[in-house]
Amino acid sequence: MSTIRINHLKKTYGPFVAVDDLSIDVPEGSVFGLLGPNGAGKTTTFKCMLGLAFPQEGSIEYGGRPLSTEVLARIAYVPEKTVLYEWMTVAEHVEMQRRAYKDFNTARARELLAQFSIDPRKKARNLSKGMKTATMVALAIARTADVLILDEPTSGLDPINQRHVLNLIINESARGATVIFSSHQVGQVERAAEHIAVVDHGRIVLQGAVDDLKADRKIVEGIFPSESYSLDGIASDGRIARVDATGRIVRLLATDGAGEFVNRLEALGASGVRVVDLNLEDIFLYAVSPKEATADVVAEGSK
Amino acid sequence: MTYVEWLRVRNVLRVVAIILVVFLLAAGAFRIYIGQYDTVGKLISHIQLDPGTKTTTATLPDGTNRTTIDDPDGTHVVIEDRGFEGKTIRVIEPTGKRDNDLTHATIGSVHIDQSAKGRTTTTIVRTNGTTAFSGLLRIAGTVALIVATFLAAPFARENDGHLELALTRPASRVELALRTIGVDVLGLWIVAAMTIVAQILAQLMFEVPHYEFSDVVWSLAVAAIVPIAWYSLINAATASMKRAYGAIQGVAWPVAMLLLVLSEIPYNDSALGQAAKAVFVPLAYLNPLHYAQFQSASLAVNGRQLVAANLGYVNALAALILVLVYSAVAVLQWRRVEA
Repeated sequence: MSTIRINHLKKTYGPFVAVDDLSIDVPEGSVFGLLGPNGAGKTTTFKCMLGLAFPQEGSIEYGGRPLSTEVLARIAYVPEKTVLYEWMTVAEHVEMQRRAYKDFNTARARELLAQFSIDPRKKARNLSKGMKTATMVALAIARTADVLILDEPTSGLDPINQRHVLNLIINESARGATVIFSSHQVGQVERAAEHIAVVDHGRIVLQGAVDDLKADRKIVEGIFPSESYSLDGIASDGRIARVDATGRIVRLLATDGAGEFVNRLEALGASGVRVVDLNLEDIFLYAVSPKEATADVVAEGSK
Repeated sequence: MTYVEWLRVRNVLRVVAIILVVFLLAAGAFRIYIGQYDTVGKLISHIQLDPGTKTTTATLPDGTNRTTIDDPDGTHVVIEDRGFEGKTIRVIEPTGKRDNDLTHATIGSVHIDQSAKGRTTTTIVRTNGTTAFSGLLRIAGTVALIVATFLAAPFARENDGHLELALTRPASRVELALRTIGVDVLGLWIVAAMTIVAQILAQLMFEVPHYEFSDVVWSLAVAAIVPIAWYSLINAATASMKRAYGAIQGVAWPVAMLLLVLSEIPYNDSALGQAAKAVFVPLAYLNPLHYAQFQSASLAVNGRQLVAANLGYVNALAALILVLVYSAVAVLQWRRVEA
């Protein structure tokens, strides 16, 4: 099973548009991070990918094939919420997976559970939130699936186990599996993912390889002599994704040509102009912050 | 999901097994209790020990061994022993000699009748008579009906936070649904079988059973199918629910019983009465409990038999149709449920 391709996906719940014209390509064998604020549409996208929700428009293909029972047999899924049967033991969950999937590796599942210090004899209701998440991760990883869809796979885990889950994700990718996962912790995504997409209000607002996004996007920062200054058309330049102005300080998010904007700010009288590299968290925050706020800031700072 | 459903069924079977063991223990305790009060047997032993008692025995032409005991107090006992066919013990004694005011009782296949006439009391005890096996099926079917109520929301249970596990299995939803229903049906039949075995064991504590199997085929069909129809109805009513399906399970019995009662009321000719009849009588035909009838009957109008077969078969067939319809409704709903 190769690339996962989502084409113009749209999913509504009554008047609420959960996912709107969402298109993603996930390269085979890669780790793909799906970022977005709460309610952005990440979980709905995953549900549509797995046939758990029925989209109104669009298509989803796994290696060029639509979702089918054969395709499902090659996908492992960790949902955002705990879906374990509270009255069943962890060992019974392992047995459940063994019976359901031919490729399920019971020994691997037990090994992973031991790594997370989870007693298989415990009932799910007696596990902490983090342990439940870890159990779901262990059950998914033990599938040796071609595709892993992981919705907040580190939710509730302590930092040590979060790191362990990230390592497992990277290992799965190294094995050849395609991993698509979401997380609120951008740092985790930055560590594990090669490609990301940022979803906001059901739409993709940013997408690409992490290294490319970081290389292309720069902050150009300068200080004007007074709070009254003009940007002389810089804000409306197509390469400027965002302008933040606070007092005499202005910060431009340039998607290209940072050096040129350094020169232009200096020509407008700004001093101390410099280029700042962005981390993924900056890129994410810039991508999902309200545009209206930006406009206000610019208007105020440009008086 | 099939495995999960089997675990659910297994838990229910455990509870049923515990209840049946308690029932057997109670039966055993009762057996020990009444053993102390084997009044007829004690009376006979007592009479035979009395000085002046006359005992005569004879073998009748049909092989029956007859023992006649007369004691000087006026007690006359006739015991007819027909071997495997059982015994008949007839005790005629002066009234007031025993303080038992029993008039009629049946314990398993033991039938006791007592009557007083003038200054004598006659007690007739018939042992090891036949037991209608359909009676065992009736009880088994009723227990299965009750258990069906508890098992009957498998899809709603999955909807309640487990769809991400249940519906990402490499199988179609219809296949998953049918396999789940199949496991529950098997569980209900195991419950019925356990109940039958428990009844036989309980009877063995008192006697060697001597079953009579007339009406057993349609009784078995009704006992096997009506609980499944009841299960299917509740499943259809809850298949798309994500919560609160327990409320449906809780009110199912009272509502179904109420509808049955309302369908049986002899309505008058008023418009309201006829309107009520037009609503409640057809509704009864959709109610699986309507078909939980174990008495032998045939459908006839004005003395003319409309249905050649015993009505028991018709009930079983009607319940089977409800199983198919309600199950289809449940599966069709569940196909469209979203996580």
